[in-house]
Amino acid sequence: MNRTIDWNEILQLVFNATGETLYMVLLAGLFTLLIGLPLGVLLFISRSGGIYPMPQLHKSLGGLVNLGRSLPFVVMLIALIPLTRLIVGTTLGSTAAVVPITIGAFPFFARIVENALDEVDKGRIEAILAMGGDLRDVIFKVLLPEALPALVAGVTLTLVMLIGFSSMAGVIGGGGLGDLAIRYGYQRFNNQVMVVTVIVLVVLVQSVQSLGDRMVRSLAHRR
Amino acid sequence: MISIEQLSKTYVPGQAPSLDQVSLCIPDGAIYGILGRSGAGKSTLLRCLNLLERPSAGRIVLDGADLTALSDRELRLQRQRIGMIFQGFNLLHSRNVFDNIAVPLEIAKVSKAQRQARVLELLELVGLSDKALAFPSQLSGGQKQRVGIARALAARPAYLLSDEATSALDPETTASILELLRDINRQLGLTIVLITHELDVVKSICDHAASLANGRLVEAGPIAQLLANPDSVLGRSLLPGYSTALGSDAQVLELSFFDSLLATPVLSELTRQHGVAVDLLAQGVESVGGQNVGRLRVALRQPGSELKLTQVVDFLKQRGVRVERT
Repeated sequence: MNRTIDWNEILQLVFNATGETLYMVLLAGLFTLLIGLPLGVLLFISRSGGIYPMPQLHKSLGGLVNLGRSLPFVVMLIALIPLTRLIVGTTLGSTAAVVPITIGAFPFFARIVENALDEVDKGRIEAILAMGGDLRDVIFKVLLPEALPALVAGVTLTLVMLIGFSSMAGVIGGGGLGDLAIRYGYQRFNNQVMVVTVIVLVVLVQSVQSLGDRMVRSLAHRR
Repeated sequence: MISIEQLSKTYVPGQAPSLDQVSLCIPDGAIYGILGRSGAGKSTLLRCLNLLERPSAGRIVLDGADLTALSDRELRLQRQRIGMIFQGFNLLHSRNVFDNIAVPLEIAKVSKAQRQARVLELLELVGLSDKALAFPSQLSGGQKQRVGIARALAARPAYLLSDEATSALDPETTASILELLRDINRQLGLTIVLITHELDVVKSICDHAASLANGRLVEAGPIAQLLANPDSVLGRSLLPGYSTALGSDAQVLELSFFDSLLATPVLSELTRQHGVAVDLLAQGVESVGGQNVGRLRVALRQPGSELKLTQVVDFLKQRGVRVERT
């Protein structure tokens, strides 16, 4: 069980697992963005006293988002197995893991979007309304562009969280670096694989964070 | 013409209204100043004029169209005819000066070529042609307000609402912005409604004024009329201040003279015809609402006999002098 494996083999394992992790993170990130951004906008504009008040809808959406955020991810991972089978057809592999990762992340991202939009000066929204702008003008000329630096910072935060989520997907056989760490580091006590996995994860998170920070800075610079 | 009819606004039911049955008529081409302390309701009144605030009761009639009765779509079209500038400028920080000024044109679905031409024209008008590519954070307060004015004028509105537009600016910048507003009023025939807590703003550019207190209209009218009416509190507050004031135990009167009316001939006539000696205690001269206004505080004596005050006051009033006893 505790046999040593050669470095070539280790690197091959880690390389493949990194690919799977990136696949899960990017695909789940895309879906999180596609669901979370509109949901966050909807949460913001539907507030009572907001630009397009729909208090009832706001309340139910807010409840849904809170529900999604109140379950620990590992629990959600397992609870969502039937749904995953329904959508993907299988519960094993990286593609299957994208479903629970997305569902775990988009409520979090939606709240980040809602808060970022809340930071936009209300006077600027009013200025657009006073010019005769409609809801679309407010969203696309004021809310999203003015909140862009905060939104990019939120995407960065979410991506880092997604890397964490994708690692936990190993628990249900989702593949990726987490899966590798469980199978080799935990079940076979292979320290070499464990160390390389940790290094790759740290580098991954650091790169995402510093890339995000740089984008936020360059966006904020000219404003 | 904007006609404000019985306008009321109550934010919290049961509490004192922010606006209480205000009626006011704003004639075309006027620069109408609305004065009041903070909390008097002037900001609410202004924001009701383009329905940023929906009145609880009453109507806003803009050239015959009742804004409160319009559909959302029709209201948006009417709003394109009403420019607005703000104390906090409210420029978009994600856009440069050029693109900020273009926003109302985008909303009005003006073609790109026409937008470009119009924005360049406006940059010229407000004297910022060299700042087209600058971002708002790179501008001074006065420059930001010039961009705000250019933006408000972009869609060629008939009306301009100014929400304390100079309150965040220093006195010199305030003067230059007010001058710009007056030029626009004259060149484009734009009707301007401005709210302010600064008397000087009203004195320097307005031709009409109204005052609000506790949500109620106190006085309103052309400034020339307010000044000439001795019972007008607003008129009195607009009169020039005294540079120095001396005390006197004789009968003291405050006299205000307007435009071509010169003080000296009237006072010397008073002395000649009625034998009244006039001591000058204090004086001030200012331009108010486009006319020169002189204000004197004088002590009157009639050497050797009793002063016939009523006669003197009547004489002065006949000559068009505003007279107040102190």
